[in-house]
Amino acid sequence: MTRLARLNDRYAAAAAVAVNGVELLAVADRPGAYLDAVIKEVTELLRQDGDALWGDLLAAARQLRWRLVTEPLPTPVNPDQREMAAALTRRATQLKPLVGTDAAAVLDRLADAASTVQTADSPVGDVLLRCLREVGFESCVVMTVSSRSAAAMTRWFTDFGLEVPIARAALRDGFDVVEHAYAVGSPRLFPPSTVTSPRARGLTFLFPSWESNRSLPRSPLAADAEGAIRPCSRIFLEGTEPVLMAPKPDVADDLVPAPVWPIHSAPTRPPRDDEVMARRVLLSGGLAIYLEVGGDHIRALDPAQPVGARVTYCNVSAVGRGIYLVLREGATERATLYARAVELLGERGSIAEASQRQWKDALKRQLNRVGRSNVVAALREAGVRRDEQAAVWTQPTVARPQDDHDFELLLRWLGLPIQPSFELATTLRRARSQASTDVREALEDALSATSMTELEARGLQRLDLELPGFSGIIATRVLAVSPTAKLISRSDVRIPEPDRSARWLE
Amino acid sequence: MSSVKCARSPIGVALAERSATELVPAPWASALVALGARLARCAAFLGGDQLVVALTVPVRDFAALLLATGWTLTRPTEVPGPPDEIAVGIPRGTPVRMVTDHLVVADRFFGMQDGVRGCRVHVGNTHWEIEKVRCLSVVPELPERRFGRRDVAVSGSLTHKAGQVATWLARQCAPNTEVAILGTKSWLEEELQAWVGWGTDDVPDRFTDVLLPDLGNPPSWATIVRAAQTLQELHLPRELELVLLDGGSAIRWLADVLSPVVVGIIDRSSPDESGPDTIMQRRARSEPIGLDFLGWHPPPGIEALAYRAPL
Repeated sequence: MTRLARLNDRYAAAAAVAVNGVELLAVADRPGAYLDAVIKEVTELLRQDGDALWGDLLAAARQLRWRLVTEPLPTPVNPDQREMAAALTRRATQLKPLVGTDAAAVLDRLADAASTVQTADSPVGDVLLRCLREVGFESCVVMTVSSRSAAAMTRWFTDFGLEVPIARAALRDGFDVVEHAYAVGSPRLFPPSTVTSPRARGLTFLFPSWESNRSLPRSPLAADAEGAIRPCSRIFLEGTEPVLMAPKPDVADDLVPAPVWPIHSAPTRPPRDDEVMARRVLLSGGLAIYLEVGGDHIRALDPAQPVGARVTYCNVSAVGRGIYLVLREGATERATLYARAVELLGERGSIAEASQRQWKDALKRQLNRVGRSNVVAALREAGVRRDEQAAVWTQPTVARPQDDHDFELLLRWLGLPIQPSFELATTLRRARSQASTDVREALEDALSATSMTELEARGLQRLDLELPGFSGIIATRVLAVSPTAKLISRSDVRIPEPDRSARWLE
Repeated sequence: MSSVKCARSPIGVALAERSATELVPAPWASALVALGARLARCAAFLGGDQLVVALTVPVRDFAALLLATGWTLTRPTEVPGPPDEIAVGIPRGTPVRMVTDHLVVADRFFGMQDGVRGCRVHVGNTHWEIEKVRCLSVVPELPERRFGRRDVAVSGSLTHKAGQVATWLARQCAPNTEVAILGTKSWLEEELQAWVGWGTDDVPDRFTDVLLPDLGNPPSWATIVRAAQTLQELHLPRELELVLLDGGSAIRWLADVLSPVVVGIIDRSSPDESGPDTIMQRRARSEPIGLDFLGWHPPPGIEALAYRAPL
C-alpha cells in the first residue's frame, strides 16, 4: 500500500474510532476474580502489619494478577505463569506458621487461588481467539501492553499456527490500517495513541471482568480542544459473573503493579539553596533517577525520528511513561557540560565563573529575602519577559537568561553594571552551546549505529561517546513517575542509581 | 448514498508522491489547507496579539506543508511594476531577481542596452531581452551565495483554484518571506517534493514550488525550514508572520517565537507529551478563544484549540 493510501486510512481510522467509539469486552474469569479478591485481603493485612512480612508476597501475587490481564494464554503454552503461580503457593504456605489464625486463613485462600490459576486456561484468551476467527485473521491485529506480553502472545500464536500480527501498542511502525484491533488489557494500560491514532477502524479491549477500571486513555488536549477525541465505550460482558464467597475489602489496590511509592508528607520547611523538590522516575534496566520539579528540560531520545534527528529535549514536566531519557552515569550532563564550557574558555574561564557567581548570588539573596513570587512580580514590573524563570537563572548550569533584554533588565534590577557580566555570560553560553552540540553530534553518531528496534525491545542501551568526560551514557525508557515529590539534595538530581522496584512494568 | 457512480472526479485537495499523475484525494488535507487560508486572512486582525493554534493529528505527515500552502496561496503578493520601468533607475551592480517564462535569475544588474531586437537588460553575464522578462525586482541585500539561476515551475491546479495564477511569476520573483517551519528537516525535505493539487484531473503543484523553501541557497525563497532538534537558540527574522512548529521538539520553542501567528502540530502517534505540555502551560497564561474566530472547524480525526496573548 502506498504511503498516501495509508495516510488516508489513518485519518479515516481515527475519525471512525472517535465517532463510533470502542468496544470493551469484559470476560468473566472466576480464578482471576478469586485471586483479585484475596490480593485485596492481603493488602489489608499489609496495611495492618507492615511491609516486612507481607510486602514480597503481595508483590508476587500482584505480578501474577498482572500477567492474567496482559498475557491471557492457555496454560499449556504458559510455563512462566504456571511457575509463578506455583511459587506463590509455596510462599504462602511457608508464611503460614508465622502468622495468626485469621491471617493464616487468608494465606490458605491465596494458595488456593494461585493453584486454581495455575491449572485454568484463561477465559480471556478463549474469547480473543473466537473474535479473531469471527472477523478473520487477515483483517485483525492484536495489541499488547509490553514487549514481554507481545513476545508471549507471539509464541502462543506461532505454536498454534495462527497468523495474526501482534503489535506492541507503544511502537510506531509504518503499518497498514486493518479492520479490527484487539487490545489485550484494559484501556487505561495503553498509551493514548491506541485510541487517538488507532491502527484499525474498529477497536476492542479484552480484559477480565474483575478489572473495574474501564476508563479510556485521553489525548492530552481533549479537555479543551474542539473536535476532541473522546470516544464512547460500549461494554459487553462475556460469560457468567462469578459469585465470590466474601465481599471484596475496600482497599486502595490497583491492577498496575506500580511500585509502592512511599508517601511523602509536604516538607515542613522551604528548600535550602542546595535542595530541590524532586520526583522519583523509575527506568528500564533496574535504574531510577530523581528529577527536579519545575526543571526546564532533559535530554531525550525519540527512536521514531530518522537518523540524525533522534536526540532531542523533553520538558521535565512532560517526562512520562514511554519517553526515553539520555543520562550520564556518575554526574549529570549539565554539570559536565558546564565544566567543559569553562574549560573551552581557557584563561577566561575562571573570570567568567566569578562573574556568574556575582550576579547569581545577588539574585539568590533577593529570592531568599523577599520570596520567589515577589521577585517574579518585580521583574515583570521592570519589563522582563520570562520573569517566571527567575529561580532557574540562579542555577550554575544556566549561563544567563535566554533573552538579551531580559538579562540587561535583570542586571540593572540587581544594581549591577551590565558589563562585563553580560559579555562573560554570553561567552560562557556560547561555549556551553558548542559543548552541547558536540555531545549531541556524538550521541547521534552513536545512535546511528544502534538498532532502534532493539532499544525499544530492551528499554535500555549503553552508549560510549568519543568525547572526554562523556563515556558512560545510557538511554533508558521511563517506566513510572512518582506522583509526589520530596526534598532532596541538588547534587542527587538526575544521577542514575539502581532501583528494581519497577521490574514488573518492563 | 447513491449507487450510481458519478463521472466527476472528487473535489478537494489531492496529494501525489511518486508521480504527478497518481493523485490521491485527501479530505483531511483540504481541511488543513483551508485552515492555512483562514489564518492568512485573520492575521491582519490580531492587533498586536499573538495567536497560537494547536492541532493534533493522527500522524504528522504533510500537515505543516499543507498549512503553509494554504497560507501562502492566500496572502497577497505585491506585484512589481513593469520590468522596463523598474530597470531604468537601478544603480549599476545592484543585485536583482528576474523571472522569465522559464527561469529565475538572481545576479547583479549592469544596465539596459538597446539591441537589434529591442531593449536588453544585462544581468550577471547574460543579456536578456526585456520583452522576455516577466518580472524584475530589486534586492539590494541579496548575498552572492544566492546568485544563480533556477528553472521556474509551471503553476498547478491548487494555485489555479486559489486564483493565484496571475501572480505566480511575481511570487517567484518577489515572494513574501514571512513563513518558517521548524520540524524534522529530513522528513520536511522529503515531503516538499510531493505534489498537491485540486481534484485529480489537472496537473498539480509541487509543495516546493509553492512554498519556495530556503534550502541550499536558492535565488528566490519564501519559507524558512529549520531542523528543530539541532537548534541551540532560536533566531528567526523579525518579519515572520507565521511559524509552524511541527512536533514536540519544535513546540518546545513556542515561548521564543515572536510571529503574530504560531501553529503547533502534535502527532498523536507519538508518546512524547512535551508538545501538548508546552501548549497548555502557555494557554494557562493566555486568553483561550473559540475557533469561530477563525471560521474553521476541525474535521473528525483532528483536534484543535486556539488562544491569544499579547506579544
